[in-house]
Amino acid sequence: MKQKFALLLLAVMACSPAWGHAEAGQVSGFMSGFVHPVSGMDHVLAMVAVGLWGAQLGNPALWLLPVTFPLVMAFGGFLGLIGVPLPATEIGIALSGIMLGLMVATQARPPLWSAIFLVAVFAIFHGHAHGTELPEGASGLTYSIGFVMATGLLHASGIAIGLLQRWPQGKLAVRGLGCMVSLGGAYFLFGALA
Amino acid sequence: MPMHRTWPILIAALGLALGLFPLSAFAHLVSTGLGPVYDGFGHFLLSLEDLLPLLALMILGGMHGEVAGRRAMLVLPPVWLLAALVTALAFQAASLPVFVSTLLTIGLGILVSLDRRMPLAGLTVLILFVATLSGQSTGIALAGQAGSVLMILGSTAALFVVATLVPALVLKISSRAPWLRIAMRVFGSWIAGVGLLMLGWQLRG
Repeated sequence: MKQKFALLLLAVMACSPAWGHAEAGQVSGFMSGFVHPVSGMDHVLAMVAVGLWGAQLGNPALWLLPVTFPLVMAFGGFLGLIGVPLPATEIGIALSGIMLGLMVATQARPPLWSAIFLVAVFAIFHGHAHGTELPEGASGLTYSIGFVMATGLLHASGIAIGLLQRWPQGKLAVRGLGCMVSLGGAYFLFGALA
Repeated sequence: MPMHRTWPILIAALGLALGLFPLSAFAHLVSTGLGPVYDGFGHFLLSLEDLLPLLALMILGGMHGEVAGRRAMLVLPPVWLLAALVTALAFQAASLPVFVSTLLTIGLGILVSLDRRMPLAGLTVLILFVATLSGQSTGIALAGQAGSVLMILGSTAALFVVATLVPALVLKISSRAPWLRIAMRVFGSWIAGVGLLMLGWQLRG
């Protein structure tokens, strides 16, 4: 025991140089990017709904929708960042909640291309809103990594909840969640129009 | 012209276009306090804008199977080392557009998410192209620094670790279950998404 204590003391006293680096702002950039999509309930509802709908539609929509949304959303963010205007962004976001919620609630099964198109159109609005809201001074790259990861994880949460589909009661619960998303979207639409 | 012949030509043309379009570079160095080799090691692992396209390339190599994964592991580090050394020692005033890494990130992320099979020759040219540009970028960042050669060697060691582990890991997990291969494609779309946002960020200034 004494030997171990002496070894520990020696290790503590033999101060090694610290691993400092000049990459200031990286962690704060990641965290603020990660928190950003989660902080707005209008975004959360739509992103979870994309995952839920993908789970209802099954392969290949199960993964195609969550691949499409972050990619097109990033494109929307790109447009927002370079200053390309997009009218009625908040209305578009609220409508995304209503429409995607309805798709889940009604278990809609449109052709794959039109499901992707619908998700892509709404993703532009979400991305644009995020792009114009990005904070000054944060590390752009780590912010973007956190932002895209959080979006993808929200879809994954939707897919995980959508696994309830396997049981009859679960199917009903998922459709009920779609109704709630739709109602949430209606609330945000009311707020955007008021 | 068949698609497998146009790939290498397209990639080479893109490389030439980027090489002929110099702009200012942005550099940042890591100080570990453990000497230039470890500084270089840390610089590579913490330079996410350089690491991300290479990570996508390694994933792409792993998704193309054992031969392509080995090719990525064996071709990327030496070419990258050569490009970095030549740039740091002979072309100290050279510069690359800031968005080169970003465009590489977007392009390679999209290639991973598409999961389209490329001919081995095309993939090799792509590896050479990315290795040259990425090595050049690091060479520019480290040029003129004390111990720049040792720093580049440290960075190459870190690159070799990544180039060895990532394709092997991708190969292993994507052969286990189809959904894990899909997860790789999703990851590719995330990488491309990050690249797109970065491009917007860079163009905004």
